[in-house]
Amino acid sequence: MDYPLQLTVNGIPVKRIVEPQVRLLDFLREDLGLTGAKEGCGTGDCGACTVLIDGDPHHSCLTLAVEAEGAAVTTVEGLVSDDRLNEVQSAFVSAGATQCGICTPGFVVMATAYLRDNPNPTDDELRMGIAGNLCRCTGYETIVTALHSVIDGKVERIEVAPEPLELVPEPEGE
Amino acid sequence: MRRFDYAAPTQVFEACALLADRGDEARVLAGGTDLIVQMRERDRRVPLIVSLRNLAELKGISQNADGSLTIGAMATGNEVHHSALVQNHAFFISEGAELLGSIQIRNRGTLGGNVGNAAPSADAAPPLVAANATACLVGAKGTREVPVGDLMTGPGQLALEPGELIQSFNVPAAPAHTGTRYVRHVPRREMDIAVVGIAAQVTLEDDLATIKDASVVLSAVAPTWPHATTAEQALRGQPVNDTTLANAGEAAAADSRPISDVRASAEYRRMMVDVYTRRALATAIERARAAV
Repeated sequence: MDYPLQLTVNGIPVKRIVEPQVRLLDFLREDLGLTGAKEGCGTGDCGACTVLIDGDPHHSCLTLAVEAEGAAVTTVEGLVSDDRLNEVQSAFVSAGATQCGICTPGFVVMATAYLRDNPNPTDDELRMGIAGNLCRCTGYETIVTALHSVIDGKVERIEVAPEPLELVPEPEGE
Repeated sequence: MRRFDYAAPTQVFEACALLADRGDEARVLAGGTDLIVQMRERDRRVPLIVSLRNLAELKGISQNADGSLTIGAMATGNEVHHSALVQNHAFFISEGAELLGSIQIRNRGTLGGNVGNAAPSADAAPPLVAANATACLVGAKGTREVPVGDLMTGPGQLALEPGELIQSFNVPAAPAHTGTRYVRHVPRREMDIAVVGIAAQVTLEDDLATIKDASVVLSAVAPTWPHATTAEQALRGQPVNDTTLANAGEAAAADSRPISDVRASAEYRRMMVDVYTRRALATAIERARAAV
């Protein structure tokens, strides 16, 4: 049996039919074409798949898509507004806080939520706040530097080319 | 992941009926932080998933007229950790919940799931046992209260009847001059599994220098979350001093029944039970003295 699913993704209302074993991560990437959230470990250890569900960071690899019924989901793609990257995204660009890039969307989503809830953390608190996100390239220093620049209010949001956020349309005949 | 059927009932009796009808074919889904991983990694066939997400009776945290606290089984790790009610009532329940994985895990994983998963190394369950909390179980025959300490019968094993599920936990109000502490030993600070965990609750006499009552519960060093009963006896009626704490630490080590595994040897675990029991008690006593 397949299940009707209604939710909003990056502010866009979405209505689809899904199989119950489909994870939110696969639903976002494959059904909607939002490939920002990544699969790292698939077991809730690395944080690469982090998305916001009703504002809170969750592992989309541990969440069934059907469990997001009625929720507002935000992916890294949805953090851009007014044709500008958000502060965390901009800080990552300016500090070069990325190498291979697989962990970056998860870090950006997690840090965006963490700094919204804890705008003035100590260095130790900040590191604990992002402890659920693993990076195997940077040694974390550039990531922490980027986030400190956000905390210090030193980040100017970077302008990006206007790109309407589009989802893969619903398959015909459904 | 293999295909399965999915139901998200809105009434507790519907959920219980589904679980009773389908028996071993059905699994309960709370936060999914353990179940989804098990289903993928072990390729487990689960014909029916019964999601608890729509059951209002399993949600929320509230104080009762008799001073006790009710924590819904679906309260998440972060809800429990950040709850002022929980922190004022039994601080170590908040401390234990804070150790469940990362922020992302704590937004999904639930208190009922941590108990229901019945891992000997659970961090959120031992404080419930030490606080003498009961679990409210609901099934076809209605509800019943079982001490959380009696609920786990072995690794992954719970004393639940078919069709029963954990609705909530009831934590009795602690007497005056009570302090609590949950502390664990892990090689890493975050995202790790306890090598040893100790939940301690200490009630002092009015003189604040004598131990009236003490509860010491062990994690990751026995098949369940047992009280270190010899250690508790070694504490009752004793003056607060280093000798009393040393005796309790030694007794708790003797009470533990650890195994050797990839995380630590049994011998090391037993030594750490001694150390961490003393540390947990020292903090609990400090908090008991500071408590109103």
